[in-house]
Amino acid sequence: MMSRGPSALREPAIELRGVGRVYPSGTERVSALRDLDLIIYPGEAVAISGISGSGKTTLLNLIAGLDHPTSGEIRVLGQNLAELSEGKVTAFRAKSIGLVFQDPHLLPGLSAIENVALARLPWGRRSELMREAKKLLEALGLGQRLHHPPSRLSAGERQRVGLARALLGQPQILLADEPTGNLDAKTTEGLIALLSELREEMGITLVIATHDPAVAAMAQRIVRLLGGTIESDRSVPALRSVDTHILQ
Amino acid sequence: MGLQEALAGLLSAGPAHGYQLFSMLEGELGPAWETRQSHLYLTLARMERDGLVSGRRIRQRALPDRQVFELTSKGRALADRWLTSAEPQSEMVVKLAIARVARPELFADLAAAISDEVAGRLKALRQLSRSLKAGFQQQALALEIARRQAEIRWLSSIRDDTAAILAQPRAQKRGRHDEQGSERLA
Repeated sequence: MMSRGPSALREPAIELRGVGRVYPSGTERVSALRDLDLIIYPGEAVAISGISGSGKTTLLNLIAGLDHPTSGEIRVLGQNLAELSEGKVTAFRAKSIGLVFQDPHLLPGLSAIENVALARLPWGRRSELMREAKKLLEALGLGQRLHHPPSRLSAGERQRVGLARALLGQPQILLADEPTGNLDAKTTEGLIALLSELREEMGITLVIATHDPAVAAMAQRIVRLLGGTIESDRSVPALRSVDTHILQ
Repeated sequence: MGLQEALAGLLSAGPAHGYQLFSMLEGELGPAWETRQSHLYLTLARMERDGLVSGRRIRQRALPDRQVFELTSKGRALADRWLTSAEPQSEMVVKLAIARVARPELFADLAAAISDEVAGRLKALRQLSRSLKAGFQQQALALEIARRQAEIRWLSSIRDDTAAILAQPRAQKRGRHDEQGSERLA
């Protein structure tokens, strides 16, 4: 089932072995993920799809080190997250993983550029961070919005600020949890185009959790979760041509 | 639409007569799809001529004889090929409907294979759309993208609901030619 291309010879970017996550719920225990095996190689774009409650967000949180598995092992860029202290996981995440959420949670009192730069203040010099933030926002088409507060940005622009914040420091992995959840159809297509370009240009490993199969189709590989297990793991075929209508 | 392939698909569940095949298509696909009865009989005759089906006459008590068709090995190969291939995309609804009643064991894999194919097409369209800016090209592509998106969302719901879809009883249209107590065929 596991999709392995030419990347099979490389060291995985993300590796989950027998991963389970059980949450206590009153007197019961709910399994959000069960015995999950998943390998994602550097530069791959993988969509985690499935209906609400299938385990998508739990999976992303585990990969990001925001949550811990109750069983199994997770390695990110070769690092076993369980071997790191809380503080080291945070530092590792800040250096290596960019996170994009459905709601970018921008700070209302700060401008777009400050929102991007200040999230990483503990790990860099302010002037350098501001310079990099400006470059990223310009690349994402927000050159004219650098000093706007979030309230003066559209939902699509706020999401792009969130994306710029995630990309600051050039992480090797980008994890996006329902990044198009609050966007209209046209803005969604714009963000998909942007993510595709970024991946091609930066060679970033992209894991995108989405309930929308039309968004998942942007990936090279679609992993469908059902009830906390992998229902299918399939590659999206690379097609060069499109169907044409013939005028006659 | 490939009526010949659709009939071969239905017959891969077992022999049937023309009206049974007609009423099965009508019953399963409803008002969104139309099968012309005359076209169906002509297609069966052509399939017999081409060695895809073999027909035999069954005598009935009060009604005229009816012809029952059975797939030959060549016909079965055609049905298998059609029901395991994602192409052509325009036939996905008919293919899945027929897999449901005739070959339920193929249904889930077929839906997944078609879904992969549509995802690949959607991706190719999106890539094109990033580079084409002239004239009305973007808008023309936007409609194609929207169509593939609708298809892939529809396929995803089919995959989520596969167990319930397969459990749903057949919607066979009751035909005026069905004779009580006649030989059960399908």
